[in-house]
Amino acid sequence: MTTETIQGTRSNDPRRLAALILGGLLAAGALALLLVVVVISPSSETKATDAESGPATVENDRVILTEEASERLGIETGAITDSEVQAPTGESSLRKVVPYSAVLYGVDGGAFVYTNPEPLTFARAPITIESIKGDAAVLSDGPASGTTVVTVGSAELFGAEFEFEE
Amino acid sequence: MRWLIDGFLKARVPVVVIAAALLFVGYKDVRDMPVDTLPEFGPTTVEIQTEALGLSANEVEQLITVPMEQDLLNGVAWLKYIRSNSSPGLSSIQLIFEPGTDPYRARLAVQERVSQAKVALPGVSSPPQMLQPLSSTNRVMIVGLSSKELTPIEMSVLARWTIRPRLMGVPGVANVSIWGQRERQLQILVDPTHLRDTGVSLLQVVETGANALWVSPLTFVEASSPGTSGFIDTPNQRVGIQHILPVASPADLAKVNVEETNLTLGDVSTVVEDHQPLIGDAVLGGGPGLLLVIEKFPEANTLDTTHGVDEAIDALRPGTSGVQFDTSVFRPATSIRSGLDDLEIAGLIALGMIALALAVLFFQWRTALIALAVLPASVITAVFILSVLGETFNVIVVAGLVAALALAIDDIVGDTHEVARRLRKRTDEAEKSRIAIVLEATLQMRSAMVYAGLIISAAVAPVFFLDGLTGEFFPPLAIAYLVTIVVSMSLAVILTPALTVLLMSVLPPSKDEAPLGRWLQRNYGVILSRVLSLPVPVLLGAVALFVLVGAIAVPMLDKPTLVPSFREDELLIQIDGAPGTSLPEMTRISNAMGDELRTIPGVSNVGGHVGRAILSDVTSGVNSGELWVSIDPSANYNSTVAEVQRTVDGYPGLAHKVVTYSDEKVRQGQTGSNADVTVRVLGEDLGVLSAKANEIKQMLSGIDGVVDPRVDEPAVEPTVEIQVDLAAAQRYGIEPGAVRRAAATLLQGIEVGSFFEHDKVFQVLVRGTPETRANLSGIQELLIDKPSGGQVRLEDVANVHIAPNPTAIEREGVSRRLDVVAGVSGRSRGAVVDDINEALRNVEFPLEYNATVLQSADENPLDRLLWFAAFAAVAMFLLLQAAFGSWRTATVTFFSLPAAAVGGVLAALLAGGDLTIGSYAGFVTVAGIAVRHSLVLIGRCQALQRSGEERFGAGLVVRVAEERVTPVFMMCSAVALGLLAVLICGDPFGHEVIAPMAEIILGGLVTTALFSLFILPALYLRFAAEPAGAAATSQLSISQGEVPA
Repeated sequence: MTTETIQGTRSNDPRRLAALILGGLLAAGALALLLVVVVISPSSETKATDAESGPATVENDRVILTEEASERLGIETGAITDSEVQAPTGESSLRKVVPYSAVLYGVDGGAFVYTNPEPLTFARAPITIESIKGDAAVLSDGPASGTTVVTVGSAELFGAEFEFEE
Repeated sequence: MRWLIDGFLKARVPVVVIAAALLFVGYKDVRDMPVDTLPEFGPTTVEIQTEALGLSANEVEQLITVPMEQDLLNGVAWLKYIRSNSSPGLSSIQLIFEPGTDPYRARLAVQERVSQAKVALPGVSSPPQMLQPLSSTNRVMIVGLSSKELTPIEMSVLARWTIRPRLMGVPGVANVSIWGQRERQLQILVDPTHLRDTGVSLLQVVETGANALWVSPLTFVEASSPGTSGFIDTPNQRVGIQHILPVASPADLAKVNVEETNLTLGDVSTVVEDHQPLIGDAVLGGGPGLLLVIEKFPEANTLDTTHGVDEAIDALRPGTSGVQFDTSVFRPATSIRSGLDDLEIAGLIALGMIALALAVLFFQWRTALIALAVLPASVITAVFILSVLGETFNVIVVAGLVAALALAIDDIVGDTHEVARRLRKRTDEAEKSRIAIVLEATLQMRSAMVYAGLIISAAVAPVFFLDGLTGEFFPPLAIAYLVTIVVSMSLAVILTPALTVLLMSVLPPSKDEAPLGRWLQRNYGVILSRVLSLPVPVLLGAVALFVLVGAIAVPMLDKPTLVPSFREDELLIQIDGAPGTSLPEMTRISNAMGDELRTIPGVSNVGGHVGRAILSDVTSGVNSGELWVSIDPSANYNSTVAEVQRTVDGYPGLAHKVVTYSDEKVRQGQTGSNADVTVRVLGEDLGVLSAKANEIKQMLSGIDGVVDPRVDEPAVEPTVEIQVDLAAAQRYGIEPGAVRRAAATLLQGIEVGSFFEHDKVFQVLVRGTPETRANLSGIQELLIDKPSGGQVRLEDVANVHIAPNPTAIEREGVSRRLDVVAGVSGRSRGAVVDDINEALRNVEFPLEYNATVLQSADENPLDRLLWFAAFAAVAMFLLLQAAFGSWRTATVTFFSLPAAAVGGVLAALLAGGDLTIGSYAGFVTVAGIAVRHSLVLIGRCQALQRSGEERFGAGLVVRVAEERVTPVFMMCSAVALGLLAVLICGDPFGHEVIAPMAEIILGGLVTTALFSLFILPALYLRFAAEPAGAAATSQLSISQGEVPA
């Protein structure tokens, strides 16, 4: 089926030009619309966290915190000391004592504390508790006297070491 | 149809007046519609909570949960799933009903059973409580209470007896739970060593404490039968007798004489005022306080409820001086309100721009005015109908409305342009025949519009058959969409013609078209002729190219998510410490985090809670917490959120998540589990369950397509287990139960009675001193009274050690459960599940154990969706055929429709590639517009042929196409401007859903215009080879006027 141009036989050049301009305008309009769409659309939120190391790293059974993380947790430390402890029988003797706030219980009953061998580095150390009197836990076994232990923030260190999932 | 339009035209003045009046009334009604971000979703659920402070998770399960599940609740009508969570101190049983169950009938059925429950452990557990029906986004407000003058106990008394009752009375409020509540109690603290020294037994102290008061819940003391005061009758008067309780303070109680001794309570114990052991606490900056979490009923109006709570608190302020109320801890009403305001403004601006474009660009003043009148009318009527249908006003309904409005604009523009075109031909006619012209013009477009409406309905109908969460979010969109389309079609018959005629007398039709219109027609004609003369392969190639581009682009889009992430001004941070972390430690670290978050610029408020509260929506233990962060609307949202995330990430050792409340609720609403495939192992013994689960895990790793199977071991925490050694107990002459009761009294406390003050009731307890219950040594050293006199250490009669115990015990269908989860990759989920089921048949289970594969969270498998799409496509095709009366035409139109949608796909890709529920609405709208244009164009061609005015050929096609170019441009520019206004103006309500939809429509408009103006005419010319026959049988009665419809 042949078709003829309906508009008659006037000279084609201005027509052609007009047609081209119209086509160009259409394309330009379309492009503009799409550009507007891209500009207006909400930029995707930066959900991805940076690939920097987290606040705590666990290696070789040690938990290593960044300076910032330690401040955030409010880590405080005390020490294992030798103190006078009065036995039920009345006599007092020199026993190894650790602040009660440093004590953590493992699921199987074994108690432990977090020692602080190097700055910002923490390691678990098992202890055996004989009794607890007030703020002090009397140990029958544990790290040497003078060892620094974490008294505030050990729960979070525990959580960092054993990354549990929700 | 004719007589209907005729009637409305004749009665045009009353019609317009009545319409205006109805709109006024409707507008007021619409303002009261309940508003919320999301529609109600989730299956009908009833939750029963039983508090048993001090019981371990195991005890709660054995003594409370299991009897209730097995005897009472299993077998309730319409029940689908029964799940429970037994954690220390709380039994929570969730009953999930079949989809579509009426919530109130379900509650009735459950209540009948619950009322038969006997309190399992009198004096220890409270009666089971059925929680109020709650909305799917149940928290409507959180209020923080703090005071510099009142102690926490005094504030708790105020909150419990004054504030909470008042707030519960606000319409829409279903529940108010109080975090950090410290019940005022009188506590008689005993030190067993001191008791030994004074020669008093624990039982004596308990009995004294109970009998000192008026009434006691203990059944073995005399105070269990309090008696009544009575009255005396004189010959003349009846005089009542009232006993005034002399005990009002610890000092008073300390003066009471201990039974069978000369000592007072104060001599043998310490009497103090203190509070109960805490199950949770509030986290507010600047010291201790309380947190009130206010929850709402389903379909309650968030804005009204918030307003009601504000008013109630204002009324309370004079009586609660000294207490500061912070009502902005969590307050979604604020952002909803500002979102709605922005939406109104955006709508008005859009309307203005549309009218302006129509008037200025195309000189269509009449059309502009009609648009100004009819578009708001469509919106108000549609919203009114939706409120009558029971829908709430939410972002999904708004998206459906906005999408359908694009089609409404098409209605208005198409009709009025047709009228203007005809009038231009005979401008000097009398008014009477002008009315006739309007009538004919309206009639002509009707059938095209009706068929277009039916086709769109066919495209939209499958959503009503979807299951799961998708099946709850799509129907509101579809309903809003369809209602708006029907309303707009009706108004096009009722209101538009009437307005047209009325306006004609004011604005007489002009002889000439606008310069832009003329220019368009002239040049379009030229280009079209060129296009029409292109050979067939080129045409088909062009179409194929479009479709190919679309086909490539589609897989590049993201996997569709149901709802987009909402940009809410409140963030929820969930924190979990290691199982077994203490309440003081969680409170400390949550406060520290809250304090740091408050320093972030852009954060206006931080408040939260740790653990749980009585009758609250939280069932996790004290090692979990929530912080609510409010972001200042004027701050940079994205950077503030990023900063919050960075801060929270900086806390090691805590599992954490930063989400918005709506996102969290949608995530929770997906029944089933989140892993690709979950095998749930049911049984009683945790050891056997664990073994079986591991066996199944091994089996899963051997199945093709299964990735990373693992057993979802429940969290365990260290628990002190006390097991009485029967031999030792016999040696000392003690019963095991007596050991437990003594230990329970000393460690947790026993309620011996209550005392009354005005209208309040307070408990009196006997309990061990803090030193006796501070640590494991204290427990081991507890002195238990021997019946024969003297005492024995707990450690001597019982084995006291620490063992792992589950933090919470979850049950499913009256059985303990353990999940094995895995991912699926490389094969379809269905095939993998079939293999798993096959393999499970070969696994041996002991008696009362079995395993099932859970339904996935996405309950609409892909093949089902494809069937729906196929049905919809077939329906649409058949409707097209009926409309055109020609199979060929229908085929050509149907298969070139995807070319029209390609622009939408490209726009979606350029804008980020998200596909959400709004995108679906966008595509349907684009397709709808393309269908309409096809129907009008081809129908007009067929009408002209039928009337004999034109023969089938290029001339016919060009003539009809030239008629259509102006309305198509008008419609495209109007819709584009309207959508741009909505996209740009502020942060309107529903922005997150509307934006993807608007992008798709904007992109689709471009390709649809190209399609309607070039591709369709060319294809019709080439392929519609049965012109005469088709024209005769076509249903599209687009005639020139004289031919009867």
